[in-house]
Amino acid sequence: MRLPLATAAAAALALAACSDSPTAPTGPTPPRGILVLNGFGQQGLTVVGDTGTTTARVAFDNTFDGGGMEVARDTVISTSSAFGGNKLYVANLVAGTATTVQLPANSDPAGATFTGGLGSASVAVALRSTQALALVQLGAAPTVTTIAGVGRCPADVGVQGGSFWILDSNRSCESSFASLGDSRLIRLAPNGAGARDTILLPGVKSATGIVVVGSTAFVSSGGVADFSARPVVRFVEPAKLVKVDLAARRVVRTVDVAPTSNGGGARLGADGRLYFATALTTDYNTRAVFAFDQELTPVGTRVAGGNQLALRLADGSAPKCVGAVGDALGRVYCAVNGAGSAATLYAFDATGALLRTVAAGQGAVDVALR
Amino acid sequence: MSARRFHATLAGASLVAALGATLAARVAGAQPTAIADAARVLRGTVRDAVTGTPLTAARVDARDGRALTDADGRFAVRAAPGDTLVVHRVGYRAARLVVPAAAGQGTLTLALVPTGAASRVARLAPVAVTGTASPSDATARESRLSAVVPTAEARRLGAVSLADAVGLLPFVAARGAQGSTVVSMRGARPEQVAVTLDGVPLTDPATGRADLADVPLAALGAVGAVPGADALGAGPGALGGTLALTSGARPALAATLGAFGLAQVEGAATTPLAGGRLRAGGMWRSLRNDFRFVNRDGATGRDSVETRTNDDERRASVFASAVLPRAQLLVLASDAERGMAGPMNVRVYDADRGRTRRATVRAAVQPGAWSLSAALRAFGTEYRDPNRPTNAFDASSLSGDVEAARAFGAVAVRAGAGGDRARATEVRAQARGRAFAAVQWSAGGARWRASAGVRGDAVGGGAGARLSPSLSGERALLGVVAADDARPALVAYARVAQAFRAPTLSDLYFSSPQRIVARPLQPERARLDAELGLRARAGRATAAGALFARRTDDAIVWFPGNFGWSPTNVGEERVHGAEGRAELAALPTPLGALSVRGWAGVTVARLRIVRDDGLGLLVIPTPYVPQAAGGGSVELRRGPAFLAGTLQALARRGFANAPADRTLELPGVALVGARAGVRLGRAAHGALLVLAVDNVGDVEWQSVRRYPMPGRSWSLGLTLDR
Repeated sequence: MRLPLATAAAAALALAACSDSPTAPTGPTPPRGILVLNGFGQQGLTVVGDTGTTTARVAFDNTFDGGGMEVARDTVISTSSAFGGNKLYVANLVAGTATTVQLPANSDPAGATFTGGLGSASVAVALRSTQALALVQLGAAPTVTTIAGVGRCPADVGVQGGSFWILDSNRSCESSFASLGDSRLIRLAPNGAGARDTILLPGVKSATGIVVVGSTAFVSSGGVADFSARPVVRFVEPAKLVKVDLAARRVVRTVDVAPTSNGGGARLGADGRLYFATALTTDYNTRAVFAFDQELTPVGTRVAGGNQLALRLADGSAPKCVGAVGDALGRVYCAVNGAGSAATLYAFDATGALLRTVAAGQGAVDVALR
Repeated sequence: MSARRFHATLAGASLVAALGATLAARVAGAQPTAIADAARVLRGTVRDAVTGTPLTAARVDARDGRALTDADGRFAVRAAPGDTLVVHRVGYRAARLVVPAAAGQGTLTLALVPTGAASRVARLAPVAVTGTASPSDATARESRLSAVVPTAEARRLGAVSLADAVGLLPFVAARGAQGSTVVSMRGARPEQVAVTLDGVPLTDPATGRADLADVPLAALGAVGAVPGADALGAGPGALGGTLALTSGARPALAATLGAFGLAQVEGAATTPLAGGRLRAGGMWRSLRNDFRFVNRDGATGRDSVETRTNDDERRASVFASAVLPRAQLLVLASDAERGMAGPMNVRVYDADRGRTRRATVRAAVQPGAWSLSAALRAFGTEYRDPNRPTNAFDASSLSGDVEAARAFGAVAVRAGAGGDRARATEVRAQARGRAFAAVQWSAGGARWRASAGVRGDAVGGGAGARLSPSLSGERALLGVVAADDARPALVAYARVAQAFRAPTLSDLYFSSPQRIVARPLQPERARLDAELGLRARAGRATAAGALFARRTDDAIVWFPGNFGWSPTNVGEERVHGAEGRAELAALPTPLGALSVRGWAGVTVARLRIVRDDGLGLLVIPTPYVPQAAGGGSVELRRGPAFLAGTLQALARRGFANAPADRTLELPGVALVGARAGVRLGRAAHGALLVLAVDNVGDVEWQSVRRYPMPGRSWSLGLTLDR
């Protein structure tokens, strides 16, 4: 799903590597900024520069309740669920404005992606409750068409090889969100017609996100927790990351993010790594960020005896990141919600040392690079 | 009123109401022959010394016989000047009075002090409060702002439920969604407002709230608002104020029909029982509530006119109150089923239903100078969605308390212990115990009063132990401080207190799906709750006003958010403001007797959150606290007929966990009501017929964001009473 960002990052790297101009960059470039998605409280985007503590805001309306975003060419897309009015939000970072597109009633939108024109659309949105895919053509008068029957509970969508790949979390999304079995990827022609290929993801329940790089998909699952004995909570299945060869229609590898973990999803960094922020303890008070290379091997400066990144705040404690991403310079950005959901963006160097702290509005739910 | 007054004294106390002595007697001479209509028949009224409300079932022993006070606290015994009267009432200190020589020239008023407490809230008294036509300020509480609306007056102003009656109270902002009504005072959240019935907490330990809709109006004699923390009077939890309900004493039968399918019948009957009185009754109510509204947050992105469906309710309540010479029993039980219509922009939950059952039993006995009481509260709720059977949810809780109280001169002591147990679907049963001890000292004279006390609470489950001290005083700048004195007076008062509230089991375990596990929540502590005020009375007019401030550390706030509401400790909450009320009772005019009452208040409530790493302060208006509020009524009575208008106004109030932003506020609203009625038959045995129209302007408004409220509605009620 983050193909445009990955492509842009790869192109920037390639351009830098091939340039023969003495004034051209000779190495990885810093991001143009970091984006924090504020899903509640002060809904919208907090745009943080690459240096300093100055921020800008792109306000969303107060019905927004999204939990994730996609970024391409200074445009950010996110969605609001059925409670938030079934809407697609499109933010223009240059103009500092946001518009909304009404999606079908009671459709409960989830993941969205830029289509690159596939299906004569700009954006595709997975609609959980109506089990459909919405194709949105942005413009002065946006149009919305839908393809029905794209899975039991489509949670996200990616684009690869002229097809849509629906991530079906296989849950009863219209009621309890209980898992009905393993998740799966479903290939869909741009118009929804014709045969559909399905790739089962064995042992992966309630998958929530997909990142497509080339012909490879990386699927995230937050895992399964048992709340039936609350307040005692048990992590039944840990958060997982799955590498899928879409061309070969096979699962390459599945890894547990951590032996006990729950929640979160992967985001592709500008360094090509996958960053996964998740909870490690059943009180959800201990959180960690993991970095994986594209072979799903933990990488980065990690804590002794664990695979999580050795991120340390000024007081030596570990941040409780709700989302994280890395840039091409090895820096890691993480957003934390404190008391009253006051959000803070922390920047760390490659060793996990704190570089910068920036106030980032309220109710952070995701972090991405501009 | 050029009354001659006599203050009977015992042990040198000139005025003993609320001051620790045992009895005060006053003879007001408006009716020169009121007492001695026979040579030795002495007539009078027994009142609560703190609240001024009449006490039913008080036993008055005289040399030649005894009498029991009626529903209005009145009695008649044969006695002569120099005789000694002894007055007993469970929950109050026994009182002795030597009948003054001048008793034959007026109406004798006896004021009993509640046992074991100089509490501002009558803890045991089933009372019928005098109407506002009384020239004295019967609603004035010691060293604080307060107000009482008798249910008889509330009915005249169109109230058919407790929620309606609360809407007539000053200083109270009612909030409702999905058929329940909760209240706020001085910017407090509903969990911070204690609701008591004759001193018994009605708050569910599971939720920290009491649903007013479950208490039938027929069970009550008066509804009182007492803003400000009152750990001594109402216990922990009353950080923002107390809604003090008092049982009724009169028999009544009322039937109401109204808009949106409202049908209600309620009644209460009284009978002598073992030297005391038994009062029992019940209520049944049905409301279809399928009103029209404008959906401005619809899934289509366009405004649409829709009909609110699945917003109906059916309720049944029963109650019984027995007041015997040395014992008292209170029983209240309710069963309510209602549609749980979701926000107006989400229709997929339009079939789910909720059912709530509550029961409260309290018994009190008075062996000697002690007052002992025990109470049990049970609460159960269930949620069902026929379209999502796996979402079924059940919860229940049980609370028990015992308490002992007595007075030692000017010092009153109380101590008690209790426990709560709760369970719910997907939550293991939780239990915790609690205990408290309190001591209060009061002193004063005709022109001043002072009180100091401290309450210590220990709560299990990690909530710890806290002391809540309080200090108050008042001084008459003109006249005397006594609230039931009819002479002109201007009284200045000040009060400062601390209080705390332990997280409820709901705070800890039943929060939104977003906060699916228990996280540490500290008790919130009002380290300062202060008010400075004035109250005045002159003839038919009374007025009172106060400045107030509250500072709460670790405030427990349920932030409204798009993921649901989840509680958290917020570093500090600062609340300050001013509020006041004024009342003019039964002013004779050419058109009839005119009564006017009004109130207004402004409140600034801010949550102050220190950002991590010193990144500054995040200041958030406390959600749903109106920046200003007010209301009032105008009533014109001529003979048996009356006309009235009511006003309830709320200024803008934020609905989000976010800094002040007009786009995150509900708009202000002013709701005007009109009533017309007539009393048929005699005043003592008659019928009251009232036609009420609410929201005359058909104003579109929301109490809680996205939960539309009905537009213009009507009701027609007939009450038979005596």
